[in-house]
Amino acid sequence: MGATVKSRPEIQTIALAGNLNVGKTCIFNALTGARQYVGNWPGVTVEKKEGRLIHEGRTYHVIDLPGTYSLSAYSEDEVIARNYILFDKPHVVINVVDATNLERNLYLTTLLLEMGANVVMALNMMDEAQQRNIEIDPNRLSQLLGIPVVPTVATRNQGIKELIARAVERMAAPSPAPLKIDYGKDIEGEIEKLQELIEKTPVIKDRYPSRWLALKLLEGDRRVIEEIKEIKWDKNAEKILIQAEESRRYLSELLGDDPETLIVDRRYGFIAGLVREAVKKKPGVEKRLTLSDKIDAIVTHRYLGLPIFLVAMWAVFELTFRLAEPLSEWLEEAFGWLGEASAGWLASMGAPEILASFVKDGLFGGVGAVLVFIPPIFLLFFFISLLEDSGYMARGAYVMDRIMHSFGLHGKSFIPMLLGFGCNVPAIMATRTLENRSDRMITILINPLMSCMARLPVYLLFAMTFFPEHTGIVVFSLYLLGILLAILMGRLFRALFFKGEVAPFVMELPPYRMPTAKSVLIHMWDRGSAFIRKAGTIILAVVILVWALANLPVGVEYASEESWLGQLGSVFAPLFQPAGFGHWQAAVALITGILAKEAVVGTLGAVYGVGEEKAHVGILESGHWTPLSAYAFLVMTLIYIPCVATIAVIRRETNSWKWTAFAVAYTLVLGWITAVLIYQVGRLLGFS
Amino acid sequence: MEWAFIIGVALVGMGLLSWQVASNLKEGRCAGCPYTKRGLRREGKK
Repeated sequence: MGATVKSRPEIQTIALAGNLNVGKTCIFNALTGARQYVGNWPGVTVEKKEGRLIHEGRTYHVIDLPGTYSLSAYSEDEVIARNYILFDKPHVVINVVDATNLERNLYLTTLLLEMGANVVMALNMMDEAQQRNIEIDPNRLSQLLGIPVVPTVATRNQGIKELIARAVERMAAPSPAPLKIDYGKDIEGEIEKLQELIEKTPVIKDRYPSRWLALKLLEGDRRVIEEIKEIKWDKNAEKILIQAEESRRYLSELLGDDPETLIVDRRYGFIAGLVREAVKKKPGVEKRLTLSDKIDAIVTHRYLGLPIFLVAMWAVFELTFRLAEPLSEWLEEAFGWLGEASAGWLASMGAPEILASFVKDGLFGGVGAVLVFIPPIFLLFFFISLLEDSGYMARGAYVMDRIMHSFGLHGKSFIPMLLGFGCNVPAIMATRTLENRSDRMITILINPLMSCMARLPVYLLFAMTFFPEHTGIVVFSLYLLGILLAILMGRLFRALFFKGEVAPFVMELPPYRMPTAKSVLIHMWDRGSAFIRKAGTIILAVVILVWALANLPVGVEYASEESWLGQLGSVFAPLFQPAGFGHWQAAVALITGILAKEAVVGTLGAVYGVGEEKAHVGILESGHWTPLSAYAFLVMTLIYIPCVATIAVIRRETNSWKWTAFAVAYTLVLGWITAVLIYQVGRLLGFS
Repeated sequence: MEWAFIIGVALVGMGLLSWQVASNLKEGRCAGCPYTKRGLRREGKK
C-alpha cells in the first residue's frame, strides 16, 4: 500500500433549498442555532444566509438559499440558488418540502435532482399534513426518488437530528447520478443530439451536467444561452447553440407547443405519478373545509376583507400606544432626572458649565428624546410579529394585493412594501423577487413611501404632544397615507415610464399557525434592538454635532437663531412657510433626518429640550407649532427624501444615478406639495 | 477654553457621523438593521 497524503479536512457545505414559506429558515435556525428572521409569508429570504453546524465534533458550513418555486432564469433569486448549486457544488442539499403542498414542492425537487445535486429531503410540516388527513409514505417517496426523506416539524425541532444524520451520511456516499425523467421519444431524441455535442466540448462539459444543459437549451433558458454565447473561442459552443435553436423549432412544429411548456408538462406528469404512489388522502377530505379555510372565507372576503384588515391594524396601533404611554412617560422622567443629576454632579466636581450643558441638553436631551420611544416601538413590533406569525399578515397582503392589482401594480410588490414598514433597505432588496424590470423599478421607487420604523418616533413625539387622545389614529393615518401615495405613484409611474401589462401572480396563503412565544419575542427584539443600536450610533453622532452647531459661534446663546444651527435652518425655513412650519428648528430637523429619520427627534430634543424643559413641553411652549402644522410636518417627514442608507440601496438595486436622483427629487416635491395641501386645506376648513 | 471644548465636540461629532454614514453605505444597510447584515457586502464578494 502506498503512503497516504494527509490533507487538512475540508469544511463540508450543506445548502438549504425549498419553496417560499416552507420553514426553510426555521430549519436553518434549528441546524445552526442562529436566530434568523423567520416570517410567516413568502419571500423572507432574499439573500443567501450562512451559518455553522457542529455535529459530532465536525463543523459544517450551512447556506440558506432564497426560497424559489423553480430554478429558471426568470427571477434573480432563482438564478442565485441555481448558480450556487451548480457552481459552488454544496456537498449536500437539504430540500425542504411542505408536506401539505407536496405536488407543487416536488417540482423544485425534480429540478434539483436533474441538476445532479446530492439531495436529502426534509418533509416538513408533517403535523399540519396529518391534521388535514394527508398521509404521506416517506419510505415510498424515498424509494421513488432515490434520496433519503426525513419527516420533520421544524417549529418543534422534530426530525432535525435524523435530518442531520442523513445529510452527513449522504455526504460520505458517492455522488448520485442526475434524475432522468422520460420526456417522451421526440424530446429525448433532441436531448440526445445536444448531449452528444456537449460531451465533445470539454469547456462546457466540465461546467454543466450535460443532460441538464441540453434541457435548459431546449427550454430556451436565457441565462444559459448567454453563458454559452460567451464561450467564443470554442467553435463547438456555436454549434451547440445552432443545434438548440433547430431542436426548439423542430419540437414546436412537431408537437404544436413551445418546448419549455412541453418539458414542464412532462415534469408535472412525473410528479403527479410520484404523488399518486406516495400520498393517501383519507376519504371525504376534499369536501371538508379546514379551520384555515373557514377563517379565510371571512378575513379575505371580497368586501369585508379590507375593513377587517384596517380595523385590525388600527387596533394594533391603538393598543400599542395606550399600553406604552405610561411607560414612555416614566422613561422621560427617568432621562430628565438622569440629565439633571449628571449635570449637578459635574457642577459639584467643578466641571465647566459648558460640559454640564453638553451632557444635559445634548446627550440626555437629544438621545433621551429618541430613547423614550422604546416602549411603543417594542410593543408595536410585538403585535405585528404576532399577526405575522399567526399567518394573518399574509391575508392582509392578499387583501391589499387585490387592490394593488386593480391599480396596475404587481401583486408581489406588496411583500417588499410590507417589509418597508420595518426598514426600506431590506425592502428594496426584496424587490429582486420581481421578474419584470418595470414592476421592479416601480416597486423600488415607491418603497420609501412606506413608513419605516425610524419615522415612528417622529410621529409619536408630535402625536403624543398635540393629539394625546388620538395618538393611535393619527399615527395610523400616516401609515395609510403612505400606502395610498405609494399606490397612486405606482399607477402614475406605470403610465409615464414603465408601460406594459402586469404579469399574473398567484399569492399563496399560508395556513394559520399558533405563534410561539420564542419566535414572537425574537422578532420583537431583532427589530426593536436595531432602534436602540441606532440611538447609540448615528443618532448620537447627529445629536453631538447639533449641540456643537447650536453653541457656535462661541458666546452665542445655545440653540438661538443666531447660532450656526439657527442660521443653517433659517436658509431653508421660508420654503416651509406655506406648510405651516417655516421656522429654523423644523428645517434643521428635516436636514438631519436625511441621515436617519430618528435624527429628527434627536435634533428637536436637543433644540427644544433646553434647561429644565422636556422636548415635548419645549415644542408645545415654543409657540412654533399648532396641531395642524404639526400634522403637516409629520406628512413631510413621512414622504420627503429617503434616508442615506435607502438612497444608497436604491442606487445599487437600480444601478442608475438617474433613477436614484429621481427618487430623491420626487419624494421631496411630493412631500412638500402634500404638506402644503394639508396645511392650507386644513386652514380653509377651520382647523388650526 | 469653552471654544476649544465646543470645537472638539463638533469634530468628534463629525468624525462619528462620517464613520457611521460611511459604514452604513458600505454595508448597504440601515444602522443596526437585523435583516441585511453583511447582505450586500457578501453578494459583492460573490
